[in-house]
Amino acid sequence: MEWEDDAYVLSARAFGESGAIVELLTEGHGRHAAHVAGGASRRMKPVLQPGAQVVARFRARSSDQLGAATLEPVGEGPSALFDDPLALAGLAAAASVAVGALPEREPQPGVYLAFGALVQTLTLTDLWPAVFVKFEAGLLEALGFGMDLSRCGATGATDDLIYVSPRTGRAVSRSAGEPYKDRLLRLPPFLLGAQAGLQPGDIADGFALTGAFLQRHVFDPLNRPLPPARVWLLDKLQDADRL
Amino acid sequence: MASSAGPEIERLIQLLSRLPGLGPRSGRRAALLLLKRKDQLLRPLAEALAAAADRVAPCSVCGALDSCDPCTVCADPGRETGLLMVVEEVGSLWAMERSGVYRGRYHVLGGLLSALDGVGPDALRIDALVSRVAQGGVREVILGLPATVDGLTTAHYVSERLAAGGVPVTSLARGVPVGGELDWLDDGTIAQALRARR
Repeated sequence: MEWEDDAYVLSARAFGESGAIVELLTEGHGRHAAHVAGGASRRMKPVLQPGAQVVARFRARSSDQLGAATLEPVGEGPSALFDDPLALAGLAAAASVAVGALPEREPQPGVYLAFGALVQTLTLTDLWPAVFVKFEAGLLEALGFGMDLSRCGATGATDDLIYVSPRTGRAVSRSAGEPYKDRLLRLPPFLLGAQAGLQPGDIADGFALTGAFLQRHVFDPLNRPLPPARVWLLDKLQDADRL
Repeated sequence: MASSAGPEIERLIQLLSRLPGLGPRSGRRAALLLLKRKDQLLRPLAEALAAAADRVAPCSVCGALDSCDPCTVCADPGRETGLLMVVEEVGSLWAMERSGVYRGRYHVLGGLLSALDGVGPDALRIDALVSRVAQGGVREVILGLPATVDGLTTAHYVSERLAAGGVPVTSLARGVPVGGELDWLDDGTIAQALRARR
């Protein structure tokens, strides 16, 4: 099998003396691992950073082989984020969540586009945490565990939706959720529409919401905790008073 | 594979094959050369290896490898005690020493923070660095860490940990290498160089 596709590097680890095993998030072939010959070389090391955009040419004799890839860098890569510790933590967390949550070799063009949008946004300090939450919400949807935020799961109301049921993943209105508010997850307005502004606590609510569903539907069945990089990101956002 | 040599030779070939740059074929060639030149190469090499195994250990101050503790660099009175360079591994220290341009001291972290690989601060010698700087006498900490996502994440973390001490923390510059032609540089390096222009 042989293909060429746009991709983002999610992770890379050394293999042998000069090679690397690279995890890619490709547009048309999903999360895909490949051996990159010369991956430890001076020329390739800058390309094999999480978040680097590449054109990948993949070749394997059969579909059950790991296969080999050559990577051609596109654009600057993550070096634009090098001076921003929070953005670096965001990039590592996004890559970790994608590596941990996405099944291998299952095309997810929507997740690819959302990951790309997040990487591009990481230079916009005030904006990207909300984009990160939206990325995770989109990831859940792509994996079949999307939340239904269109109307209240109890009354059918379409306005004043401020909670999400942790059991059903459906939105709940203020009035219907009032008696159960301690057990419901808070729904930040920015997940309902692009026009909603960010209020204090919205980002924390968003991370708690997507984190709860990622944990329950994606990582618990794999018997794994949420990625440490995501936990670390939340700690850093908390320390920077950005939650 | 059928063996045509005794177990001692096979063992020697097997071990040599594990060295960087060598495979089974080159390991066999190296073993043959060593066996042919026993007195000039094999015995001195065996003695050097035994001495290194017995005596070389991480320096209790900086973490570099040496046969004495504190290591040669830490014990050198001609070194500038006020300058402390933080490096990832001993290989980085050796690279800096090879250049001959730095006369300060070092602190070897023993790796980099990696959120993806689950390497946290406790796995590195960061607490030892903070204690070392807190003892006083350091007027500048230079971060000689790789310009990678993990390298820069580590650099930011170390800077934050050292911020309370009030000692200035600087980093090595990033940009066009000596002899580097723009045509051959990756976009990230060019962008970094442009941003750091002076």
